[in-house]
Amino acid sequence: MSDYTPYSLKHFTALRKVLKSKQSGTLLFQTSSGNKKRLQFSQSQIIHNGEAYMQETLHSFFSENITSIAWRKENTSLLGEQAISSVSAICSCLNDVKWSPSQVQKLTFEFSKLPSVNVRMVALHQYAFRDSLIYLQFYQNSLLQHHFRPADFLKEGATITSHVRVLVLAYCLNLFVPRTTVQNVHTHEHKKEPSSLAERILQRVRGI
Amino acid sequence: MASKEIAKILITGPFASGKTTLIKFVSEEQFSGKEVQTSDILSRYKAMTTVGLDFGILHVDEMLDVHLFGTPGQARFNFMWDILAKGALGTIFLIDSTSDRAISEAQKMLAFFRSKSDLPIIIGATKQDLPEAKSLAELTEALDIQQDPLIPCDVRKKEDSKVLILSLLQEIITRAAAQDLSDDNLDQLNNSEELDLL
Repeated sequence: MSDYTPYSLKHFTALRKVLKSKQSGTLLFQTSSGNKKRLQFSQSQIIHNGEAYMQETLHSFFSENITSIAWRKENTSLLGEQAISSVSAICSCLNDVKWSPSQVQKLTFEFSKLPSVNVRMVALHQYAFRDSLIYLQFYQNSLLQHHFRPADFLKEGATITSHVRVLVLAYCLNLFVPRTTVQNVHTHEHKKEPSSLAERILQRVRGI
Repeated sequence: MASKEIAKILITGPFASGKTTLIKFVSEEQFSGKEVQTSDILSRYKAMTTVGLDFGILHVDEMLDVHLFGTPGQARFNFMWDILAKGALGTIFLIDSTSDRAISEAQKMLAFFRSKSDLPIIIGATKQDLPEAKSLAELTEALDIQQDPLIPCDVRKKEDSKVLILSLLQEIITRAAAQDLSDDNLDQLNNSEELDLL
């Protein structure tokens, strides 16, 4: 297991990679209280033998200080009694997570380091995510502003915990990417391609 | 000298959903269809309605204009779709969240729209601030739009109107990127996408 300073985004980064890869395997982690826990993933689903225990483990992952983390890849599909969509389970878990003021402060600090991002439109209300409207605000602001950083979003937050919750969810589910990456993908395109036209119009509409 | 490019965006949706207002906010030149007194059963909902097309132009640069077409809200004008959808970049579909009648009409219009075209679509839910408004989750279920972006908006506000247009443009860009990327450059994108925090 790799060790690192508690309160960082590193365990969220690990989860983000696991969810993006869609590989089967087990995420092993240890909390600052010394408890060792595991979450099994297969094809973007969490495999478990009891939903209550799985939710408790996921809750620990999001709310406690994680001191070490590891990923054990499996070549065969994992078998469990039940499987649940990772998105649903994470939305449900984050609805209930409570962070201490120092955790919120640290997460705010970490997210504020991120560069300008493009946010993806995902209908989180379908997963009963409590702050789905705040996510929409995050999405909308990223559209309106040419250089929109998570730090800008956090500054708008009268309800900072909700804003942090949105960023944790969006980060883990890979719902935003650095803006420069998306622009680079299109540099090769012919100017008359719909996406190229759309980019030119997008810049113009931002300026209206 | 090369001719100016024209990009087309369609604004549609049931009766009284705010199409004319949206076009007004994002156009520099606007030509509204004739506003006439509503003559049928709809007159109890809205005194005046648009007959013909709403049309707006947004000048992007010296080489590109955007033409915005607002289609009449009533389903009996569906025949215009084949003509309007040809060459369009995408569609914004507006719906009044408070009206059961509009939701019923929207179901038919969306079914028709999907049978005719696979254009990118953004659905804007208006009047979400009113107490009788259906929630986004209720609208998603009623309209069976789990795969389509649904955005609450007040098209009387310029920023909300801009957000709808920007969302559609972002959807077009995202969709094109998904089509363009082969497995090789998808790996490349995934690698460069990572916010390097480890």
